[in-house]
Amino acid sequence: MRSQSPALSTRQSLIVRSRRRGIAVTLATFFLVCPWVLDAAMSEPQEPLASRVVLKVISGEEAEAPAAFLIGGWTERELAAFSKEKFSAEAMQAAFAVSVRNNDGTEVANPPLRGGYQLTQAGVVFSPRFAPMPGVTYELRLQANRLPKSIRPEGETEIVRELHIPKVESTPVHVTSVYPSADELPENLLKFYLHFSGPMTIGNSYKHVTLLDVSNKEAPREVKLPFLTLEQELWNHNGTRLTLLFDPGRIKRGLKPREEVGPALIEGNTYEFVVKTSWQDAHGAALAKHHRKRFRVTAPDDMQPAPNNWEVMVPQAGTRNPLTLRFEEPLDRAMLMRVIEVRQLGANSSAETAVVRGEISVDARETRWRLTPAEPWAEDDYELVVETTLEDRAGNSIGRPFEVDIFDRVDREPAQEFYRRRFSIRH
Amino acid sequence: MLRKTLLASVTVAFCSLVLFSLAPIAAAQDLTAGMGQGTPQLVTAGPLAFGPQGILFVGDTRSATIFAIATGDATGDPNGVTMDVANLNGKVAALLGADSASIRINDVVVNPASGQVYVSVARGRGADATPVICRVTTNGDVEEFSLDNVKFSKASLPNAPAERQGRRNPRMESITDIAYIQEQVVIAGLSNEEFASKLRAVAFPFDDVNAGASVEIYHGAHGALETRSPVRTFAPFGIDGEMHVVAAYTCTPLVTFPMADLKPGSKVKGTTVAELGNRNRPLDMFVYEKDSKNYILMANNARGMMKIQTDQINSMKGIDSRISGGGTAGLKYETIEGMDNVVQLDRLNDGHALILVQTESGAQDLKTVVLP
Repeated sequence: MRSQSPALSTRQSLIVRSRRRGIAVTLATFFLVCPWVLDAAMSEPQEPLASRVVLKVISGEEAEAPAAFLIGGWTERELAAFSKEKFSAEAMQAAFAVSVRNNDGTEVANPPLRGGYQLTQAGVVFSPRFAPMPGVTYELRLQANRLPKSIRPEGETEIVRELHIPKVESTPVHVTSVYPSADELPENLLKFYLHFSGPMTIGNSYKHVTLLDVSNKEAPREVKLPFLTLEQELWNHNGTRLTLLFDPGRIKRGLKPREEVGPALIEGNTYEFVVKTSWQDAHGAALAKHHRKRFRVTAPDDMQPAPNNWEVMVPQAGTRNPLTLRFEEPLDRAMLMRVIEVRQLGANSSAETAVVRGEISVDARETRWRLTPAEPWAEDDYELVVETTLEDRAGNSIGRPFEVDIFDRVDREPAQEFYRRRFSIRH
Repeated sequence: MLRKTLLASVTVAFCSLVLFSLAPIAAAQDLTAGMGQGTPQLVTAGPLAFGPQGILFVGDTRSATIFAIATGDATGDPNGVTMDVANLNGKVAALLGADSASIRINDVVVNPASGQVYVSVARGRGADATPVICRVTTNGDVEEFSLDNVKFSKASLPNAPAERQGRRNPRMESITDIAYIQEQVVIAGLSNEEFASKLRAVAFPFDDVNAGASVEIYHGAHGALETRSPVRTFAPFGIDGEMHVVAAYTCTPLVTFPMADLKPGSKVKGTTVAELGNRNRPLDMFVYEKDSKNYILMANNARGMMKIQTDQINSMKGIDSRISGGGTAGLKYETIEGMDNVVQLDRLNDGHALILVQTESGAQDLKTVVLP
């Protein structure tokens, strides 16, 4: 093992002496850029233990992310003394307690993290039950009087080290789109889909959006509680899309919230929907910029989507040109990506190949759906299969309208699950 | 958010009936007997509910699964418990090696057998957060409830039809609330795409064959029959000796329907028993008894807590006509002052509720309050 150079020890002790708050970052960075300092086992003690002990994070075998803490800075003699004594897990935890340091300046002692201790050539490795987290400051409280007697330093009781793990640097996230994308929306609009360029922090999302009635340019008015606040927020699998529902109590007629405070959106008025930069991404960084969507409100939409009226534009066999559907009104963008499929019916298809695979795209303000097949179209008969749950912007689905008196029809047969329409592709 | 247990919620008359009829059965059958031993692989830890024998139900939205976990925490005296833990989220964060901005408390539920409190937590900010269950002991200590090598079983919920096709991005059906009622786990769900009401009843102990088809609940709302507003939160409630579910919808009517009607694939007609106005957006509720009367306590998302009288629930025919001028109809309620910013609610014991209060500083304080 290499001895520590005098120049280095001076530098190190300077850092250690000023180790409290904020400096920990310097300490961590220092050891990252100077790995040779980390030769934990030194041949002879050059300095008191309190000056030598270091706390750093080490990565797991498979990933770069921090996985464990290394408590280093020991001499070979000290490590040998450890290995002789065979400390129990409890004794290790009592001697080397690592805990979260509050970042609000309070001195409340937090409980030591649970985990396993292991003696290695580099020092004591503490693998906490949960991996060290970027953005968090940790604290080691080394109880010197619990070290093996032969190496116990005189006059030292507790040695404290802090380590701040920097946040992961990432490209700032922004809102990529808000659906429905049109700038005219019906009074009974049911939801917005907010798409982000990266994963977001989940929880407390509603406080980062506002809806302003900007009909009077001189005096914009904030619409109070327009959205349904849900504890279990409606995110997609990777946290890049949030579904924001308008409060249905203020959409459906005859309900008390609507009678008391009126609908959230009023026909003829102009609104601005604002996503604020206070919203943080999954790394804790603020959104890159505000996002604003301005729209005018039109009459309520009480009509169900009528697939019989859809225009189907059929490509030629042998090509990979898209099959195109044109709708009479904009439909739910998320559902359009999921609930329509095309099946090949003829003798050339089997159960496995019946569903035509390809790329789905939706555009023209959610009035156009296209399927570009992965393979050229075969000359054959096909079937368009659409789940009847497909909704328009006001929540009217093919199966049933959003708001209807069906008192007499409760016992009716359930609506068909799928709408089907046949077409042929020819050369 | 689920604070519903059989005993907590039945009427006096029904209570004695249930105690005498079900207790011997419960004692005879070990509900954990068919469970396997191992570590349940939760992807998310969402809504919680307790069943008998210290069985904790955990709703995992991402994997569309309900886990039943034998906590072994089946004895104690909840009536002796009072609990006040300031900055619960901070304490949970410190325990899990995180800062409080990087954890999220998803639900808080009392184990009615012991009075200990279980908390579902997401450790991490994004969708890849680690699910953790924590426990607050009756003396206020916060600890992790390890899921390593526990007895558990699970029920996977049938998901969207589109998933059958192996689509890459199936829609998610968020579990908004769960409760154990009469040997069934009742689950309310809300899709992140279509606006649909999904309520499922899954028999417990879980059975691989029947994962519980969804039930449609119809209820009258001012002249129209409401079918499509999802159930937000619900609690069991005995009416005339028959177990009902009292449910609050996202559009705010309060509706009851009989448990017996919750059969797979059925359509159930509910009775609208109250209309909750503008200031009340239900988050959480439970039923309790005070001075020989039953009340529903309901936490709302921002302002105040509601105490709803239930004396007339037996005789209610339901609200099915328009109420003009903002008048009230159905069950009477009052807003309880001084209980603002309650984000979680459960019944702690005969005389107390447990609330989690969001403070301006960001800390969430767990508090015991006398039932109003």
